[in-house]
Amino acid sequence: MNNVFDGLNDSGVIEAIGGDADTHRRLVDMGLLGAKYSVKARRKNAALIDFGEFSAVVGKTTLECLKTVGNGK
Amino acid sequence: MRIALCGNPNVGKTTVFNRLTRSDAPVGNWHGVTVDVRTKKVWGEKDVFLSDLPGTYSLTARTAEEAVTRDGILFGGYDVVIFVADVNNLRRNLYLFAQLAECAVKTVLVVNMMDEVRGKVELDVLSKRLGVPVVGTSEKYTNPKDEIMRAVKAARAPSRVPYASSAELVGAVGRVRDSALKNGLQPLFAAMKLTERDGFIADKLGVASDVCQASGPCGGINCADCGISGFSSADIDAPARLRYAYIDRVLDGVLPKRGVKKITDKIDKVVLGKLALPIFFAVMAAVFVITYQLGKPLSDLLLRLTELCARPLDNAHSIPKWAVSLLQDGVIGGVGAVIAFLPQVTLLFILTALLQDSGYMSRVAFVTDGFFSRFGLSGRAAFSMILGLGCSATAVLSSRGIADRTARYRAAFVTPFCPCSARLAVFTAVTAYFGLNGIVVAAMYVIGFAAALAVLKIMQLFKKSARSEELLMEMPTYRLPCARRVFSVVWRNVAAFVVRVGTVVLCVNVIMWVLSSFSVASGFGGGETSIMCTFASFIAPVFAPLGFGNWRAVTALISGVAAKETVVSVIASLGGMGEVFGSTAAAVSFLIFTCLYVPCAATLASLAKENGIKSALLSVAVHTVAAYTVSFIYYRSAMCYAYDKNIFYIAIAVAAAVTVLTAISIYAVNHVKHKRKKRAAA
Repeated sequence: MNNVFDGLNDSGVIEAIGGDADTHRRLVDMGLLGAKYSVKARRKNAALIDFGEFSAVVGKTTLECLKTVGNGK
Repeated sequence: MRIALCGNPNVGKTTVFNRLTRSDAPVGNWHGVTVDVRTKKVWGEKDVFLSDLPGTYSLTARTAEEAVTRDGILFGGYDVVIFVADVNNLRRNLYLFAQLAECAVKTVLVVNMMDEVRGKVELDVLSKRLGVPVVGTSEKYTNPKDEIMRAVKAARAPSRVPYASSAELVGAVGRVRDSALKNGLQPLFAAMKLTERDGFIADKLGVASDVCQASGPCGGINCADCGISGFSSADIDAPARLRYAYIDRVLDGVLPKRGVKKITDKIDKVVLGKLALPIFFAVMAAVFVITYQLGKPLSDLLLRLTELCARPLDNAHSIPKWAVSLLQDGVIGGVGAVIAFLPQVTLLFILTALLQDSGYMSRVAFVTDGFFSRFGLSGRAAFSMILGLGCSATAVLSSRGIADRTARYRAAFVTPFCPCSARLAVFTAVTAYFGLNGIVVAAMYVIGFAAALAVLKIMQLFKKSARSEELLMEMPTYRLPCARRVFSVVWRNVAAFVVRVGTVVLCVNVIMWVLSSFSVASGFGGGETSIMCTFASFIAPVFAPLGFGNWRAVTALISGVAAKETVVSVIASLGGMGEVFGSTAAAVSFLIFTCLYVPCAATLASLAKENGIKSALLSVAVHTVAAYTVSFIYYRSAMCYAYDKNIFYIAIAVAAAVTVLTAISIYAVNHVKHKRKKRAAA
């Protein structure tokens, strides 16, 4: 298990969501809990992530709220 | 009958609204186009009104625009809700639909963008499972108005969601039933939201004390709110898990298997790769080069046409002199001088509309995010700034989509520094008269953006953002720009420009002509003794150090507060550029001042609406100081090397460099301060 920004896995599954109540709610509402992801591009403070049905720009602080299981790629 | 139109951002709600009401509200391939409720009568229906609500992902609001939608759905008293969903994103879209089902709102489901899906979508099965009428639409199909209105008449509350009967929820619903009904909420919805720790619903039901009020982790072992930070949030996620499990069952076998978004992925690889920033700057540079170079011959042609229109009046001896002057200088000359720049303004609108519709504009937020984070904003602010190139007043309103209050305030405050299309008309008119090339116009944009960044940095010195804004923004897929949508956007903006010229610019121009052509003592032909001259001459010495300390330039600047286009028209009616500016250096100094000084009345009104009156007044002061400072630096540098014929370009570069350096130095000071504080804390 690792954080998305640790850079080990470019794709995997979001296992749990943390963050403050506000951020947590938004991420859960967007259906990210249990969603598959793949990082399409990275910036210093944000990454463009493909969540299957949709892609979204996610800020670094938000990314740190995502607990993921990578697929080793 | 009152109908609400709601759904996730960027699913085509406003497109459906436009087709149902035969109106022309702004649409775009990016989220946050609609920021307020727009209501209109449904075309061909008696007493049926449709309200277009801003997009939201959930009835738990995070931004001001989402709160508008939440309040509209929960307390707006609409008879029917038309829920618009994107067929490419149906699972996530139906999450909001599930909440409407919990609220037992009479609903119609409109599945949009049906042309983009390969294979058959089982809409009948979907309708049966959800218990509401379902209509499939696309912008490319014929107008679905009749079908949607038939569905509206057959609308009913969605089938009872299966999780409503789960043992845990039944208990929770029973506990909140009375207070929920008393507050106009469905008990199931209220119970779900309370489980999710929705502060608004908790406040409504008077159970706010259950939600942790601590600004940071409170340390409470059983505090669910603070526990989220530790990824231990199973209970508050339960409603979302229930809803998505329900949606997965509903969608089983409804959608064909999805293909891979190959084109979007391929373009993103290039556009968002290592060359993302250079590509962005190249795109913006191309926009300006095309706007300026392609529009110039057409502008010249229009100017000549205006002169031709005014010529017959030279021989009209039967008409009083003042009337000839009014028509030639006040009306044809003044208004014509602004209308002449219509080709360039139109080109700017076309190019920005193409960028918006293709889906690239949303990517700009990602590309510029790192850059804007240094100034306490996220890439979302880039939207407002780029929209500001068209009209500052609407761009200020677009900052409403920014979640963080401080960031929203700052984005709205600095957006008017980005030169709008009306200022482009001034830049083009002055540079064309003095034979300066497009570099001068480009320099004005650099100065405008640099000033915005400098002001942002200064704002950071006074007040740090409480927290850097979280950025989670959905990216639309790339689409070939739709000619109809682009035309609609361009038409609306061009029409607004022409209307402004025909109303505000014409009125201000005529008033200014009267004030500058009549004197109290001698009536018409006042000239240097005119009312305006007497008044403006008092202020003119203030502008002498900037090179344009004469009453004509001051009059033009005063009129520009009403609308920036009037600067050009008033100059034209006061005798033209040659009369107003003594030298090219003075003209460029005037351009810099116009680029940065007080925003127009409409923008100030928008700013007052978004940030409050104090912010609008502060904006007037900050813009005036910035304009005066940069113009002064430019003009003084230009005067030092006046013998060099290329000095005007060099001086512009100096002014731009000074502005950029100021921004950098403020940033450096701030950075050092921050480091020192960190060290001290360590």
